[in-house]
Amino acid sequence: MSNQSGADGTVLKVHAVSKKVSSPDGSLTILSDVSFDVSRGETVAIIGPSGAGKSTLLALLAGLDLPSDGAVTLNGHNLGELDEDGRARVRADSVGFVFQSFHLVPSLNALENVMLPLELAGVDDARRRSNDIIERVGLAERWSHYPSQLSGGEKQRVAIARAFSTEPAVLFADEPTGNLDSRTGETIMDLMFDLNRNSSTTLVLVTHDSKLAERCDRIIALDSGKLASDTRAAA
Amino acid sequence: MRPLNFAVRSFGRELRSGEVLVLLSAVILAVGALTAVGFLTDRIGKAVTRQANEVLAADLRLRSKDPIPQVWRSLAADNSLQTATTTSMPSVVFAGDNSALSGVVAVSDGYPLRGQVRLTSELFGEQRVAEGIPPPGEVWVESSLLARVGADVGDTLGVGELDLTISAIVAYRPDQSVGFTSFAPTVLINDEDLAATGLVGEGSRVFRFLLVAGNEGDIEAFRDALDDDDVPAPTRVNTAEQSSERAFSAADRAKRFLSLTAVISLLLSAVAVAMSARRFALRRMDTVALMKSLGATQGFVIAVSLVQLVFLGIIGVAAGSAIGFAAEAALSLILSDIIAADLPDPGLMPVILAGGSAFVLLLGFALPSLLQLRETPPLRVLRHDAMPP
Repeated sequence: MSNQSGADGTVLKVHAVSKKVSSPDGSLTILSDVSFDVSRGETVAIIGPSGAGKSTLLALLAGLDLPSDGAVTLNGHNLGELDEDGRARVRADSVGFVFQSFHLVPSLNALENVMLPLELAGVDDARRRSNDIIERVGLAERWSHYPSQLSGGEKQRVAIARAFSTEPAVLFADEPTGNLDSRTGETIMDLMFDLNRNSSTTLVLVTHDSKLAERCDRIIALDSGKLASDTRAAA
Repeated sequence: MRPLNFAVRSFGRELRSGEVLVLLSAVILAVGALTAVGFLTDRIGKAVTRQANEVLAADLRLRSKDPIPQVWRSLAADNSLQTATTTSMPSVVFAGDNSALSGVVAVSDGYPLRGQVRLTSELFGEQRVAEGIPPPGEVWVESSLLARVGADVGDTLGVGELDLTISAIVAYRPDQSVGFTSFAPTVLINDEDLAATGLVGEGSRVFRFLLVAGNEGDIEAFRDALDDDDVPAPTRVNTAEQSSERAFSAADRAKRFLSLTAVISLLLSAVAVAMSARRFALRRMDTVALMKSLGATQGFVIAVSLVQLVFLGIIGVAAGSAIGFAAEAALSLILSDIIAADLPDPGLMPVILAGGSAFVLLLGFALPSLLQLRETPPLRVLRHDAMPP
């Protein structure tokens, strides 16, 4: 909705971020000294084995959690300097999500699920905009269906429509094809990349799928909580 | 978006999806129980109040073991008071070969001085207000007596040595609950027929009353005059206040008993509200985490929860009151054999009290669970084990 990326076009700045949690065995480091920048419109895949800290990094990037050390700047806002409500406002303004388990509200139909972030952001023509986007994801005939009446692929289409409905500066996707068969997953990713191209949204994608990662402009690999590599696709 | 708008929309959706039905049912149950009892006690209370001044059929009732002294009548007349007499006695009455114990009440002109006698011409027929007292040669009886002796209006009833024609059925008389006659069906006869029945004689168990009515000052003056040493003292003096106190006391006991059942319902409902609110909050936690991840602030979550709680209360009170009203109607029907009087329409006070109780229940037992939702970490959308602190 708003774009406050830096003069250099950086929309996401990650500086020396660490995340430690306490466990019965003492302090456990999940992420250690991770730094990178993401430019506006870039598509970035974060890959790594299970337990590498991918989802933790995604949570920190989106302001869902705070780092133990370091700083995350999202669309010009240093998330560590904001309280929870401040971070929520930044998310409302700049962020969209697509989750592995869809996270649709079961009591809302497809259209109402898409309308949710628009209503929270106080957009006046939420219904019209939601109708447009739901048509673009190919669910015009199923807008009134509830999540329980939709297939996994259809649920993820609704989730993608919801994520793009606010035209966010950054879209975070956590294993978006993780609960889909390979064919449906491919279709869903085609849709997501198409929408991303058309809206110039920055896409940050956590995935295990190397084929999917290769479709991104850039691949950031994590291993044991550390940045193992940061590779850009050949132009 | 304003929380109110969002709360209205999302509440409609949640109502439609059935997510709030358990919590709503608990509120409806509480309000229904409270209003049912409230309506019933309210109606009984109003009936008692309405009848309080009628329970003696007079403002003052003097009992005498002998025939009513003429001096009492003279003193009443001197104080511009109205008077009438009733003479009551138990007696077996006959209709053909059938007989039944009854309470024979001989009344004089003017009876009742307060309230009205209502009659019907047939069992369960339309009631009318009696004009005057039974004419000589006729008798008015309560319906239960007709059933006991197998008689009907128009038949002959033997009262003592006198045969009288049953000309009406007594549906209601103001002083019907006073004295032994409440245990046996009443037979109302004209005082002029009393001597011919032969029921009053040496050793007969007779209750003689002088009924007195008038304004308060005159009554007081009359009572003062009765204290004169030259005036025969009544064996008992009943005032409307004393009688209504008894009636109120009975109504109060009934009210307390019914209120106890309402309190038990309320306690059970409180548990139900607390449990269903907790369940509702747990189920809602994922939605709140999602809303927060999409940009909802803590204040927004609280405001939405509060508005929805108010909606829940309003719907619960409206639906519960309707159910309570219907339940009270059913209760009144079941108790119609015990509650002789026609109950007045209920007021709005039970709804106000039950509504207040419902909101106290919601605020006390449901609000804490819903308020805890604001602490739901948005991280829960990625880590399902993330819980409010």
